Amino acid sequence: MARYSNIDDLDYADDSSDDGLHSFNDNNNSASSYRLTKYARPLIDYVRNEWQSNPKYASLPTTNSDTSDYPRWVQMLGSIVTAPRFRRYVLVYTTVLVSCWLGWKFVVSPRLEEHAAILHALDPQVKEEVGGWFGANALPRFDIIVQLRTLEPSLLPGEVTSESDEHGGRRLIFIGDVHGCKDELERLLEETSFNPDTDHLIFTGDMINKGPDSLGVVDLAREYSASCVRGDHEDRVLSLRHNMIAANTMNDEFLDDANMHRGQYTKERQLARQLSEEQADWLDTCPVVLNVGQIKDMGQVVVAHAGLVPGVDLDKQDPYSVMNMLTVDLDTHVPSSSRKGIKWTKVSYTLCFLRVCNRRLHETFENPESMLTTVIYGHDSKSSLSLKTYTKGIDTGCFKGGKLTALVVGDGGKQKTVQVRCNNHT
Amino acid sequence: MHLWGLLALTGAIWSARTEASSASSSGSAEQHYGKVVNQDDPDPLWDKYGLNKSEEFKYFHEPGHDDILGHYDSRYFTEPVADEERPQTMTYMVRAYLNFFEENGLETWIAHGTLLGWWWNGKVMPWDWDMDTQVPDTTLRQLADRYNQTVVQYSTKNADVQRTYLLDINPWARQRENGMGLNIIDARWIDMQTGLYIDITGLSKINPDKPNLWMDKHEHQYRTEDIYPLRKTTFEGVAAKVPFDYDAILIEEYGKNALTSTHFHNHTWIPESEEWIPDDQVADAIDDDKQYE
Repeated sequence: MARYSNIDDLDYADDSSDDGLHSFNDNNNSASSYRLTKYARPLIDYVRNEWQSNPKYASLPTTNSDTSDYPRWVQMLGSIVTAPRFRRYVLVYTTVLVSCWLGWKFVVSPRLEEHAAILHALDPQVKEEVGGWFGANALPRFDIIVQLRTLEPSLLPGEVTSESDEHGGRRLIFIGDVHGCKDELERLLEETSFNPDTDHLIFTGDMINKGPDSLGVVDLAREYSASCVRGDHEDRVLSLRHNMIAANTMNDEFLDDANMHRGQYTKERQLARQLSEEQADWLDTCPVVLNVGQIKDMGQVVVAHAGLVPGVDLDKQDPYSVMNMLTVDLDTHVPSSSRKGIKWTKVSYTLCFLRVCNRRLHETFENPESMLTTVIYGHDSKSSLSLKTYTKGIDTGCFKGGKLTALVVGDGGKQKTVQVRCNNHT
Repeated sequence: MHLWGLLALTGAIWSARTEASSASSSGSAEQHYGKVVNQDDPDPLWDKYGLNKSEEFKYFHEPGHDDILGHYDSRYFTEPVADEERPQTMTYMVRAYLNFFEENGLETWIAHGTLLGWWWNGKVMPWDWDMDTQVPDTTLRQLADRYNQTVVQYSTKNADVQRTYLLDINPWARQRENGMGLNIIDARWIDMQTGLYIDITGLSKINPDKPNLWMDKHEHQYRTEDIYPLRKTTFEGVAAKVPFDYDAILIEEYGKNALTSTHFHNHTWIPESEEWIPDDQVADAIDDDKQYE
C-alpha cells in the first residue's frame, strides 16, 4: 500500500486545517477541488515541522487509505464527521438544542402546566366536581381576635399626583415584619422622610417578638397612631397573655416551669408579661385583615400578614390561615403553612387577571380596575421582597440581618420601596 | 342559668372492682407488658388504687355497637332518643359540660367531630351521635381526685327543663399508656336521663424523648404548638376553647375535604343559613328542582 498515495487528502486529516468543506471537495477529486488544492499546496510546503519526513505523522494517511476500502458515501460521511468545523457546529447546535429542551422541560412547560392547573382550579365547574372550596363555612369567631377593619378614608393618598412638592401629598407607608428591631425602624422612617402630619404607617404584622425592642416598636406605632394587622407572633403572644390572665399566672414566673407543657413558649410568655395593658390592648385591636380602600392603579388594597385564600370574602377569611399561610391546595383551595404546593400569590394573580380580562366585568362595571385587589403582606422572609402586580410581599428578614422594607404609596398611587440594612439579631 | 355541683363518693362498683383486682397476684403484670418491671418499683396504680394492669377490665359499657346503641351508656340507657329530640339533648349536654369546666377552672377543649362541627358553624353536626372533648393529663388527675362522680344539675332558660349529668372518671385514666386498649376513653359526661354522653380523653406526654408530643390512648398525636395556647371561642352559644392550630388538627384527622365538602352524611351545607340540612329537606331549603341523593 502506498502510504503517500493519497497525499491530497492529507490536509483534511491534518488538524492544522479547520476547513471541513475544503477537504470534502479534495476527496471528491473534482475539478474545482483540484483548483483549491492547487492553491493550498504551496502553503503546506512551507510547513517545516517534518510532516512529510517524520514517520510519526505517517500513521495518519494510513488510516485514510484504510477507509478508502469503504464505499464512497461512508468516506464522505467520515470526512464530514471528522471535520473540526462540523464538530464545532454539532457541539454548538447540540448545546442549543439541549438548552432549549431543558428550558422547555424545566421552565416553560412547568409554568404553562402550573398556569393551566391554576386556571382549572379556579373554574367554577370544578368546584362542583371536587365538592366545594375552602371558605364555605361560617367563620369561626374568637373572643379576642378582630377579623376585619377598614382604614379611615381620609388617610388615603389623593387621586392625582401633587406636582408642587414630593412630600406635599398624603402617603401610606406599609412596613414589613419589624420583629422588635426598633433602631432599624427609626432609620427606615428617616429614610422615607416620614412626616407624621401627612403620612400614615401601616404594619404588616409580626411587629413584636424575636428582636431586641418589641415594646419600643409598639410604643412608636402607638405614638404615630399607626395601623396594623395581626401577625402569627402577635397572635401567639396575645393568646398566651389572655390565657395567663385567666389562669392568674401573670405575676408568677415559677408557675410556667411548674406547668411543663408551656415551657415551650418561654420567650413569648416573657414578652406577654412585659407588655403593658395599653400596649397589649393596642395590639389586640390589630385586625386579621385590614381593608385599606381604593387606591389608583392598585384597586382595592388589602393588608394581611401571611396571605388571603383567593376568592374568599375578606370577612370570611380563616384567621389562622391569614396569619400563617404560604401555599394553597389547588383542588380544594385549602391553605397551608407548608411550602409544598402552589404559592397563594400565583393563584391570586390568576384570579385577578381573570377578573380584569373578563368581558362581562367590562360590561357590568364602568371601571373594572376597581374590581382588582392588591394584597400587601409580610411573613415570608424566605422569599424576601416579592413585588408582583397584585401582591406585594415586603418581609425582607430584618431580624436575621436582612433588610427592613417600606412600600410607600403616594398621591396618584405612585409606589416606591425604601429599605434599610439591619443588624443580625439572631 | 342555674348550675350546682355535688361531690359524691364512688359507690359500690368501685370497691367491688378494687376487691376483684386485688385478689389476683401482682406478679403476672409483666407478662402482659412488653417492658421489664422492676420488682422494687412501687406501681402506684396497684399500690394506691388497687388496679392490676394484667387484669384490665373495660369500664364504660354501651348497650350495643351499632350507630345508635353504641352511643349510650348502659347504666342510663332505656330507649334511643327520638331524632327530633336528639339535637336539643346534645346541645344541653355540651353547654352544661362547658359551663361546669369553665366555672371550676378546669382546662378542656373540644375535639374530633365536635371540633369539626365548631369549625363549620359553631354547633354540633346534626348527624353526630357523640361528642368529644380533650383535657391535659393535669386536668384529668384533678377530675379523678376531686370531681369524680359529680352529679351536675342543669336547668335551661325555660325552668321546666331540668337535666342531670354525671361526671364519671374511668379508674384506668390513671394509667396513661394504652394498656390493653379497653379504656381509651378516660372519662364521660353522661346525660343521666337518656344515657347519651360526651367522651373525655386525656392527653399526656409519655415519650420522654419527645417532650413536644401529646398522646391520648387511641393513637392520636398532637404537638404542643398545635394545641397551645388555647383559643377562646363559643360553641353552641357558650364559652369554649379550641386548639391553637385548629386547621392543622382537623386536616390531619379528617383530610382537606372535611373543610371544603358541602355534602356529608346525607346532609347539605347551606351557606346562606349556615346550617347543615338533611338532603330530603334541601329541596325546600333551596328553591330549585335539583335532585340530591
